[in-house]
Amino acid sequence: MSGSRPDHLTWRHWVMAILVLCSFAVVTVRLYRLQVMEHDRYVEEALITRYGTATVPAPRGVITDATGYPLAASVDTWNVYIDRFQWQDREQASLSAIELGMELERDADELYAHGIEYDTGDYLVLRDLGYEDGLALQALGLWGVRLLPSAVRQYPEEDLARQIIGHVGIDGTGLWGVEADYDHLLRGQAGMVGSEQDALGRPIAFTVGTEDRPVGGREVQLTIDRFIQAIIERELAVALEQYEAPSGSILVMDPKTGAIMAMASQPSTRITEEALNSPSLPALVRNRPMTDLYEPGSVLKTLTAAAALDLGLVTPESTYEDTGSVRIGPNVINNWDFQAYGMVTVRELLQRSLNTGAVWLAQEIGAETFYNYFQAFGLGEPTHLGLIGEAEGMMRLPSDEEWYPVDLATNSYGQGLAATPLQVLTAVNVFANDGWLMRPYVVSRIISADEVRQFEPVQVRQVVSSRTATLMAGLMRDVVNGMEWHGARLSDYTVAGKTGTTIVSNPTGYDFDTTIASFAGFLPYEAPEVSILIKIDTPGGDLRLGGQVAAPVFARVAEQVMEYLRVPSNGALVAQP
Amino acid sequence: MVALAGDVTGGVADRRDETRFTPGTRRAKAEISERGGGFRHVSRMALVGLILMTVAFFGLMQVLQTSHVASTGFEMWSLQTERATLESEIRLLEASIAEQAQLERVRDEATTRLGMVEPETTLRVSIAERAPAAVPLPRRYVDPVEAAAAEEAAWWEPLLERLPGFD
Repeated sequence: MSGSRPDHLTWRHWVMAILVLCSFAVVTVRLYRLQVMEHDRYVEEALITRYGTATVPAPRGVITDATGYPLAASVDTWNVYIDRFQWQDREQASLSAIELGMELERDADELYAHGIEYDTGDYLVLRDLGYEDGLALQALGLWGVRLLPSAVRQYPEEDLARQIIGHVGIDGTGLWGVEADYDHLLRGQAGMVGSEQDALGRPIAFTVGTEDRPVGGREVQLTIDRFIQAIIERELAVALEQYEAPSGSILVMDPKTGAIMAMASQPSTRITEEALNSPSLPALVRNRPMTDLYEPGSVLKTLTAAAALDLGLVTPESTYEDTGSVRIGPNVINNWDFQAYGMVTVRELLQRSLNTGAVWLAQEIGAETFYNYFQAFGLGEPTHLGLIGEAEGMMRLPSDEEWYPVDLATNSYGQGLAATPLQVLTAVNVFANDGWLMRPYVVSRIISADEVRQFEPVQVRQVVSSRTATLMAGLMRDVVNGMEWHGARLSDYTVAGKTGTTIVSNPTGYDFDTTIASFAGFLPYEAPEVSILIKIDTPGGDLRLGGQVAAPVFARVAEQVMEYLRVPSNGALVAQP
Repeated sequence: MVALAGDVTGGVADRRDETRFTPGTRRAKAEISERGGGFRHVSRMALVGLILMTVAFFGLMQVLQTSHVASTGFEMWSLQTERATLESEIRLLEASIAEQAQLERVRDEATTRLGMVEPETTLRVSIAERAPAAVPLPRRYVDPVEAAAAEEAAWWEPLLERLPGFD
């Protein structure tokens, strides 16, 4: 510059100035595009690369029984991963593999081979490592080994009530039962933790992070009592073996509220030993007392008698002449024992369980009124107990084309229609509850952090008057007490109940050698605490009638349940002060 | 800062005033100088130093605040981690308690370790006392105790309620 005039600009200066200006213009335009026009896009991309997120699973809600005992609960575990990106440092990876292998009792060479198989992605080493073991492993700070929180479902009573409770799959979703039906409440809401991370994806300590805390699932309390459930599952297994029966169900309810205290059916399976993809699994985990239909048989004679009593058509002492059979058009209906008993009262009709008597009562009532009563008892419609898969039953009505007059006769003693054991016991409960039909329910409370939803008993309708209900309870008591040999009798408690023996139908008619033995009743008669239904399908031994097979099972179950519930017995000694 | 700037400007104005203002005005300025004229002697170095100290003070405050926020954040993070760990341990303990109370296990313990046997006969005795309520596990499922009855009102509260607007 020396020797030249400072204000003299040559063409070179101009060229340089223009080039510099152009460069600035290009940079400015580029900056404008990056910073203004595509601002949002690059912010988003920067966030993705700078912030790492991890899902924090929500603890799944507990399922408890009526006493608060956890029938299903989740405990925290860890899933152990190898970060293959970090294991590109082979020397560190080798050391980590050795230590990880020692901690997890796995072959270090195998871990190393899996860890370096690819350059990116994670390799799942172990699922559901115990919580405290995971903490210890985490404390070692192994290179490229990450532990992510997980949870495993535990069932402390193992296979007890598993048809009701259900099961959770490997992805934490309920597969059946309460676990599936209430999955949306039990599951909770997974949380998300985000933090700034370095180029290797490692979280940077104490940087600005985002946290969406997991919201734990709600707790579901059932009306099921595990002690009663254990009693009926044990007794059902014994009964099936004793009577050589392939299947059966037992149901225990509180007749005053409709709460289901226990519900079991066979065949079932030990879920802990069954593969979840087994084709037979759906049949084994089905909650049969609410899904499977059967012809209830003579238990429904109580409903027929109640309708006639409620209408004032008969009294317990009204009589009819039993000739042993009755003709309905071309069909002849006989008593179960093919006997004729002459003049018989309504009370004796129920004690002897005479088909001809039930037909007589149904004809006195009339078809339309008869079906109105049966529908009022809840037959032909689901009970809405709050679990998915409930059957609604089958009952032809006079308005249906397929209905024939003989249907009225057969329906009067419980054949020719189908109902679930739950529907049948719910209907029988009417006589223990002043004539009111209660809606059965199995979930009593849903508990969250800030709310407790209590399910109260629901009165569906009053089916018969209180007087009729009392009369029927007395008649059912006489059914059991009136027979010295009755299998359902207990020495310390008064039982009211009715047997049922169903001839099993097949595509061509009925198989008279195949029966379903059942008994439905409640006790103590004076102040009913529980109602119980026993159903043993196709017993294979010499004993096949409801009174021979189901009634003794009822007695065994009822005695244990009364003892567990500490219900004062008739013959108890009274301690004097 | 504003006051200092004003005084510096005032100093410049004073020099102009010496040639232009009347003796009365000069007296007034002299009085002002006697009252607050100390600022005129503050050197520029001192001013810069003061400004730097002020800036440093505020900077230090910010550093202290940031440090405090960071340490509090760390403390919160530690407590949250501890809480999560404790919650996990609670769930583990509850599951462990439930396993200990499993019906089959209790039966096994009773029959094998304690040598108990199934009763051959049952003798029932009724007593005029309510049976103790079963205590469910875990404790958090126990219905909360009903709220304690309201305390008896003080002697002056009924009087207060008689006043208009206090009912």
